[in-house]
Amino acid sequence: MELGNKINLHFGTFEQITLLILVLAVIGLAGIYFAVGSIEPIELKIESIEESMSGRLVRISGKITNIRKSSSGNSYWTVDDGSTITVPILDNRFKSLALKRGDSVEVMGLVTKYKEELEVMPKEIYKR
Amino acid sequence: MLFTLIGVGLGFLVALIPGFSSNNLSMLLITYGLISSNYLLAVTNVALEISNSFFEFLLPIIAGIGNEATALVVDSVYARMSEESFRHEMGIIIGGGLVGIIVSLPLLFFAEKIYPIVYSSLNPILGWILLILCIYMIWIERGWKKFFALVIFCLSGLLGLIVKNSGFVATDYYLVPIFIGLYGFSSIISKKYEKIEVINEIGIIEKVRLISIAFLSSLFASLISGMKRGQASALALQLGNITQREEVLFILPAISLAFATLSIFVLFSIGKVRSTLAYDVQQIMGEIYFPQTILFVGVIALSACISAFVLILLAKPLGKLLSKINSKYLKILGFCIGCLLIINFTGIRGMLLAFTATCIGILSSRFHVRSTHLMGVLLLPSIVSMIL
Repeated sequence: MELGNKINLHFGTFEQITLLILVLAVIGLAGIYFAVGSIEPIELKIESIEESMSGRLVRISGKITNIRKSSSGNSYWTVDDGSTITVPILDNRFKSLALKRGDSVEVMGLVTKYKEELEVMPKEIYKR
Repeated sequence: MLFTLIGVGLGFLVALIPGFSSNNLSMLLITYGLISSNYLLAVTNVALEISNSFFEFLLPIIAGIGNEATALVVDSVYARMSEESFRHEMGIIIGGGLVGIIVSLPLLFFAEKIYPIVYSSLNPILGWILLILCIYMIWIERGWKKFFALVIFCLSGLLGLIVKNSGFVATDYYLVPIFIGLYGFSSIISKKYEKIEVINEIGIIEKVRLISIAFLSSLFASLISGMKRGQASALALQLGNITQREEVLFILPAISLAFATLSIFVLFSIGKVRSTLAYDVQQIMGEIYFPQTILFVGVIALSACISAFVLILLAKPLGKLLSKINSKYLKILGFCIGCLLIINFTGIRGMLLAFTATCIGILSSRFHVRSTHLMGVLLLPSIVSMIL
């Protein structure tokens, strides 16, 4: 081997590299899954939810003061802890919850904005 | 006319700024009330969204960076074209977009009667239809590719399921790193540019087939909540077994424009918001009736024609420029733009998403399965939310 000679580098066979990429993809997915699971919701009062928190995971508690049903079968709760916010119930998991006006709930969900209004899109709902 | 022109101009500018969507600019126009008349503001927004639906195909072709509606173009046009073939491809995109609008227009006169019936009958079973279609498309792969296609669909679907509405990155931008990784970075790393001199013509029967598929999938997507342009594109490519580059270039703009047009009809007939365009219109006008719908249809047609004309004018100089640039520099440019977008919108967490998505994207090309299986990232979460 002399200076200036061309060399070919082999990192592995096609199958070995493909397997390595597959393993990396699975590790990446697992990493994202655990990272998502470790995100702790911020516990706060409804009045402190603001637009800059859009996309953040929060936990709120309050009473259901209004339930509005849409023609498509979705319902929209107004949760009140002194201030109010809308919690859209689009997920079938929550539609089966036998909750009514006046019940106290704890909602963990993402702050989202719909039609210029802030909402909490629920990921978990607990009756208190 | 003036405000349609302004909208088209803005749509063009937005398409040239990577990561800045037409929706961002629409919201700025609405929020800051830059145009005082509601009608004129709505006209500007409609023109902006429609022209952007044409121009947004430029960036994926030039730099390999696409969004959920255009990413499939990246995969199919990862080729350095001669000036002539670039102009030809622009022609296919323009043709697809215009035909997409034309076939959607007649539905306006039946929208009020047809949409409520189709909506109520389709809504409960669409999740199952999507599931069956996905299984079918995996099943028609040959031999071991069936298994590999399933692996790719599940991996990308899992990625979508884990990240969607997780709060891991900003909810509005979680698809940015995923699509840059799945289609952009994976192509940059694993594919070599091929020199394309001649683009095949699409026969008239094939065009009719493509436009029928585009129309049907746009109709589904415009009616069903949880489905958008990306899902419609994936559905159409799966449904029509579409793999040829010229077919993809024709059908994607057709879907994009048909979906935009039909979403206005859906807003008018059943009051549902299914696209950013319909969202903007609803924000500005509230409910819309037949005369307003006719006005918006006119604006859609006019802005589409102006956009098509601008694209025709641009095709020659752009084609000349692109045929001269070294493809290595384009790859580097695409990679840098992609990294900047990911960091800007989703931070370091977005890079982890992009890394994983890139691995899955590379796997699909190493397994030689269709890249549409990567659309599991959109389809699987939609199926799960519709069925469960």
